[in-house]
Amino acid sequence: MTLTATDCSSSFRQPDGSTLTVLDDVNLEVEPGTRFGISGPSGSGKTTLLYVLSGILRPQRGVVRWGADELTRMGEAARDRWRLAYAGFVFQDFLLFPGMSPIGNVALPASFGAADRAGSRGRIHAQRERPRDRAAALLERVGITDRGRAVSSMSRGERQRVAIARALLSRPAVIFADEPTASLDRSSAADVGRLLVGVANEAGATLIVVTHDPDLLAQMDRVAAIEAGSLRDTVARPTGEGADR
Amino acid sequence: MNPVPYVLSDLRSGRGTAAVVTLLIALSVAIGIGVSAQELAVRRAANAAADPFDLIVGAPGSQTQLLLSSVYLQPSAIGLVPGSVLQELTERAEVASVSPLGFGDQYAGFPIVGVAPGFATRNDRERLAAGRVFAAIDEAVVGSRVRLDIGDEFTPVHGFLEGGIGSPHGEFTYRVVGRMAPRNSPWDAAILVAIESVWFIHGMGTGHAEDGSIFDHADAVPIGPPWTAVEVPGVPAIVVEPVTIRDAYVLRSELRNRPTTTAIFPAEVLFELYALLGDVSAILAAFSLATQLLVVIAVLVVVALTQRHKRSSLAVLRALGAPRGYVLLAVWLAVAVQVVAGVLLGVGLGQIVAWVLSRVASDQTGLSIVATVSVREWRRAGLLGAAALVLAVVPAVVSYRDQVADALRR
Repeated sequence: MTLTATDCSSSFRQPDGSTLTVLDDVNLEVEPGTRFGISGPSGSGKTTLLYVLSGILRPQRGVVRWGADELTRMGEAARDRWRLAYAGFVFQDFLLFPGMSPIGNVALPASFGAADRAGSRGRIHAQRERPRDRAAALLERVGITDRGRAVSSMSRGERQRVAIARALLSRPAVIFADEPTASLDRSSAADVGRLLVGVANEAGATLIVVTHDPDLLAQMDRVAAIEAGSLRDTVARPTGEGADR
Repeated sequence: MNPVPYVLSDLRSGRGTAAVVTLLIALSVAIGIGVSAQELAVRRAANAAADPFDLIVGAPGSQTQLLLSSVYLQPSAIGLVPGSVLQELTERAEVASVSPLGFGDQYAGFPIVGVAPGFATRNDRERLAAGRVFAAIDEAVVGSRVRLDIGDEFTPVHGFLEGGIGSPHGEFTYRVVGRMAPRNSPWDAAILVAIESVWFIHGMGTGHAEDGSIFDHADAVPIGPPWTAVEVPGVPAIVVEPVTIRDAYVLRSELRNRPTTTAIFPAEVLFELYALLGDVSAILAAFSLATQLLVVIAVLVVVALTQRHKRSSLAVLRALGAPRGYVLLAVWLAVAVQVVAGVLLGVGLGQIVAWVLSRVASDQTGLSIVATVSVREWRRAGLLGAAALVLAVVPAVVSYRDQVADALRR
């Protein structure tokens, strides 16, 4: 699925009554399977752009299209279904559920209902694989072998690995990651960054990452810089380094 | 859509709060049930205790006081029925049996009641647990809870309170000759003696024409009806067993209209008493329900406050693709689990509260109060639970309407 964002603008009313423009006529096109980084200073609109691209937030103006699906024309329920079917999410603070085991966390999206994908009832169900079996396999893939451990007893790096496994459960076409390495120490950040890029490549998924992490940005195919809501520039891979594809 | 895994994990991670919420609801339900079940049990026990008393004749005055004094042995100063009425009733064709009730003395806190011998066995319809009925003026039959054994002797003390507020009747002693079977009433703590002895030790003769010196010839004093003295002493109450129901109404009507007597059917007075208490009971029940509802609202406020801390978790669910309905159901279900658990636990605890209150009340009143949780209590608990489940929709809807992007930024 190709991502096309056209003239996307978003603004918020501030407590003092003034209007804050967070996204200002953003235009973007991302080919399927691309590793796409978004960088920029704090408050520049990176996360808002991520939410707009993932359908969590509808821009006041503009169009966001993933292949034939125009998110900006969909209602909230339809966008929920779209994310369940096509998207995976990785957050800065992992946002796992401490009352669940790692396997429970990873399998949780399967409890939301059948993913409604065009032409199928969702890949999880289409392949008749039990969610917990797939979750177990994914945890193994991300290097979590002790799947019975409470997530609260895991290191931050391990937790983010569990979160990455969760993002992969529905075999997403796109993985959104919001500062996935920002809460980790340097060593863990490098590992998690490599893992994220690696699993996205394996899945053939588009990866859209908001990050300040230069090492992670270095693994992207393209990097867009955003400042004051404007996507100023889109550059090709900044260095020759990066994950193998 | 199956929010159960999330709900279970949510309850697990917040088990401290969940336990407090469940316990608060349980306590609120338990207290309501305990009191409500108790009220019903007291009524049943009070009715059962009044059962052996068909018709009670007393001096004009408060019917309730007459009932409390005679059936429940509550100490109170009530007027005396003239002895002539007692004499008359023993001779009436409508009367199957009659027994005076003479109060005023006690031993070790157990009230001594002067009666006719037939009263101890309800005229041979009940058997004593041990021994025999008193046959002399210095003999006594004790209730099942009286701490005296057959053969024990004791000196009566004037007055109702343990230790006596008056002086002991020092020259007179009773000997225990029999023990009654439990009647599950205050009479289990009573000591039954011949009415003649009560009259005698209070200096009123024996009620019989030939009084002799009873210290020398106690056996010589006649016991029981007919009382043949020219002036039979008055008594606080007379228990009458009419021959037929019609006779009961005739006697009640006639004796109620005399200037020196009144007559009551205990069940009738209890009914009036319950009618009066019923209004109070309804008000108390309403207050109880309101209090429980306030507890539930307070609990839901706590839930709503904790829900604010769960905003980001719920937003994550939405970001991962959970529909709004999933979030609504998950939040409601988490509260519902706590409410239902609280109500069920509360009914169980309520049974325990009712049992404890029953024990305390039984000890204090002598009534056999057995409180059980009935359909009424289940219905009330169910009503409270249903109200809580409806109110639980509020935090669920708040979460349902929450903006995912805002919640994720927190």
